[in-house]
Amino acid sequence: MKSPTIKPAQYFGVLVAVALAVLLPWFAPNQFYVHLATVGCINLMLVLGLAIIARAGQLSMGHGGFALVGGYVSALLSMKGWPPLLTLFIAGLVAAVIAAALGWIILRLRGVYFVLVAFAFSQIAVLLALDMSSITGGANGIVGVPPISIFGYVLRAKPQFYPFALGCALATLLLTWLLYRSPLGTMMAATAENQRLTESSGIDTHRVQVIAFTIGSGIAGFAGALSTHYLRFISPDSYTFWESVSYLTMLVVGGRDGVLGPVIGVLVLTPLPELLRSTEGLQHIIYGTVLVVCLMFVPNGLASLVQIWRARQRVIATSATLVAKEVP
Amino acid sequence: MSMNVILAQTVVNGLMVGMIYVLMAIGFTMVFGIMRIVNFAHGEFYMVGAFLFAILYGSNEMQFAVSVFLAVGATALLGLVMEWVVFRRFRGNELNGMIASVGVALIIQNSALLMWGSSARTVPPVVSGVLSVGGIVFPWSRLVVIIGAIIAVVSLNLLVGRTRIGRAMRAVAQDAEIAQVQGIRVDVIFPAAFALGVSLAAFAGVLMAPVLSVSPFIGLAPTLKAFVIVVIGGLGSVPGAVVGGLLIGLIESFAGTFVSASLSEILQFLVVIAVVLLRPQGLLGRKEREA
Amino acid sequence: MSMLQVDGLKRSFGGLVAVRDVTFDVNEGDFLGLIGPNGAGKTTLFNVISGVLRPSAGTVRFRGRDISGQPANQTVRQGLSRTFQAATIYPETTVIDNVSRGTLGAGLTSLWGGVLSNKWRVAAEEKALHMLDLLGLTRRVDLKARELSYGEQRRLGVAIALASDPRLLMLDEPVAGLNPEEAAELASVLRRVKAERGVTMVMVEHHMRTVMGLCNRVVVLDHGTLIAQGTPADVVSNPVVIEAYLGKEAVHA
Repeated sequence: MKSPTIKPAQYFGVLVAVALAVLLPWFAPNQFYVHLATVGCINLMLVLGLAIIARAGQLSMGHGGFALVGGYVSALLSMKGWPPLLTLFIAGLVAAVIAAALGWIILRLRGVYFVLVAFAFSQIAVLLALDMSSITGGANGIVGVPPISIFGYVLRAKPQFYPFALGCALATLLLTWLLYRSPLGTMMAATAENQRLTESSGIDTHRVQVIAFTIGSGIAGFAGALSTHYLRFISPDSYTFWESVSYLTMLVVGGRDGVLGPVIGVLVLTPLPELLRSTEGLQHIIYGTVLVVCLMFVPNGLASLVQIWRARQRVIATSATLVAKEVP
Repeated sequence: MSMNVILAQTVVNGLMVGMIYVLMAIGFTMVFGIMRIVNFAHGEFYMVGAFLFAILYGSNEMQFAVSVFLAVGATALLGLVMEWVVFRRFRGNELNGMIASVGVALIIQNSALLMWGSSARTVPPVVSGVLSVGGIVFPWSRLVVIIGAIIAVVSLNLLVGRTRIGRAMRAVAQDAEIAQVQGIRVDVIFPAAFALGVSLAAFAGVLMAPVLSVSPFIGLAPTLKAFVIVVIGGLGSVPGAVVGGLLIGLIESFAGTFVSASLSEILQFLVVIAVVLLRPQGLLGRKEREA
Repeated sequence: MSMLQVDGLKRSFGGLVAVRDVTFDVNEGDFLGLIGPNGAGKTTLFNVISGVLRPSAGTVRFRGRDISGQPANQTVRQGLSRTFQAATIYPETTVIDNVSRGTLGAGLTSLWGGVLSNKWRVAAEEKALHMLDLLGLTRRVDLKARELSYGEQRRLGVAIALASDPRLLMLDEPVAGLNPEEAAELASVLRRVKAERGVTMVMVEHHMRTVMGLCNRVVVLDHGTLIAQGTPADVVSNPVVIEAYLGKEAVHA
């Protein structure tokens, strides 16, 4: 539990960052950057969901599956006439319920088994989307998904979507930060660090992991739905193994520990696929290499470098004062 | 077609697919049992083996045996390189090693894409013609796969059961620390085990290349199947991999023939869930001992 | 008042019977030593009582309630806590946070509370500081747990176990691996903790001097069976006990 009293400098930094994000549409050179920022906001939500699951010590390779489920649920319900703003939350809820049931069964297993079955789930989700074509439209997906309307204001054009996406992302960021500081968040971290010890402190670690899995996957469902109403489209290709891998990469590269890690990971890696879209193969190779290299040399992510830098500054400052005292 | 014929062909298909899955699963479970690595890139070695065979035998018309040998050998070499460059650093860190294997999978799959293009290739069948038994017709191309896979599994059994290195591998799988204390060179065993596991995957790819088409994307499905089978059979258990592989192959074949493809996948997933609920260590797996 | 009643407890692993029909009581205020030659089944018995393993037969009653086979996190919430021999701390976390975490399971805070306020953390840290003071770790409060010496880590493990306010504390070979000074320090700390907080204690130990110095009652296991119980002086001079030990290895004095 790092001292949770926030220093004024950090408050200021956060405010500046948020202000920059809000004002982006005004000083962005063209619409492409706003699109990128919107994708970044959705990515951030997905990575935060993954981070919450990771905080309790588990790794979900099935994350894309929940995003896909959320996307389809929201698309199908809104096309039946339900207001998209409502279907967003229903999508998140459905994903959470599935995660709770699945998690309750498979989180008893050793970490390895859990990863395998969660991965299998995401592949099943894609296969179902492909095969149940009467409902899901099969390989062609669902086109013409209704846009979100807030109090009558319809987010039809892509740039209009950005403020809403930003708002959702910031809300998720706040939620995650509060969760980490709460007793539940501490229990999650304890479970990840030493599960047996946490059990013998009276905490039902299985329940803690299921809750983390449920919350994280529910957020994924919501984000998947959000993306569907942004692109007005969803297909079995929307969330494949590659997507799950990219969120994992963003989390690993950014840092698994706090809320800063996911933000850094998303900022660094979101532009990459968009900028390298011409050579898709190369893009994936770079992603894979970045992931492996990062694991080898910076396993705690770029955010940990920030911590190390700060710690070093503290040492320098302390030794400077010590030296100053020595000199008469 | 009479019911008998359909049944027989479903069974043959199931066995063929099942034996390929067995090869994939054994390689995967061996690597996990000995090195404690969950290798998400396992299927990519299957793909590379298939591709190299397609290029050597299909395009360059090399001798069959030479092509097989080169394809599997080159893939094994690739595996050794991967072990040395990447996985060696993650010994003792299961989680990070697994994530690293995901990165490796991406690299291998997309390197193949860049080198060989995304379009699928076909390979001429090794043996053509059919075998007629009691009015039922079995294409030789499929029987060859079954026979080849059985030969591989039996050879592996002999290797692991009768040779010194096989004994050493089993010792390391039981307890790496104690094996080391007994003088077994873990630094030799690990790469050897990895190369062996990867070779099995590559051989599976070689066998399947004439039956299915070959493209850079064929690696993901076998990886997933290997995972599912190993969970069912028990992580680290080779007999479990055999039982699980055949079971899944048969379910897939029967459900696919008589119901639908998507139901077949759901059914397999439900089998996994059922096994996990009723017997979490797998059908033939060992219960994990308390640390 | 009987704190712990072990009745006909049995635990086997396949064909091997590790614990065979063991019956004994622990009264409130006791400091019970559980001793026996290597392989006698002490650790298995320990693990069955604390919920790490399920019994094959027999019951364990804690303060009147049957807790046989309950998982570890439930027994802790009933008031029965334990320490481990290895992997007994959170290495990357600060000492004070290590102990604060120990307070979370005891029902001080609900699973969903504390999201918006900090009160739970202040209360937890206050409790943790008190515990650390009791165990002589006050000067180490802000260090990462892995930076502590081995003896200090053992004491930290006890602090974490005490943080859940147990009525009965089970200690798994607390002085194993400690040099004589550290062992004596831990022993005096345990004595102090017992006196101040009135916690009943049960200890598995090989180190006879520690057992003699701390325990008011001793239970002896051999080959999974309970062969003697009584005061330390009684047990040490009991011919059955001496034979059990001499037959195996020298007793560590």
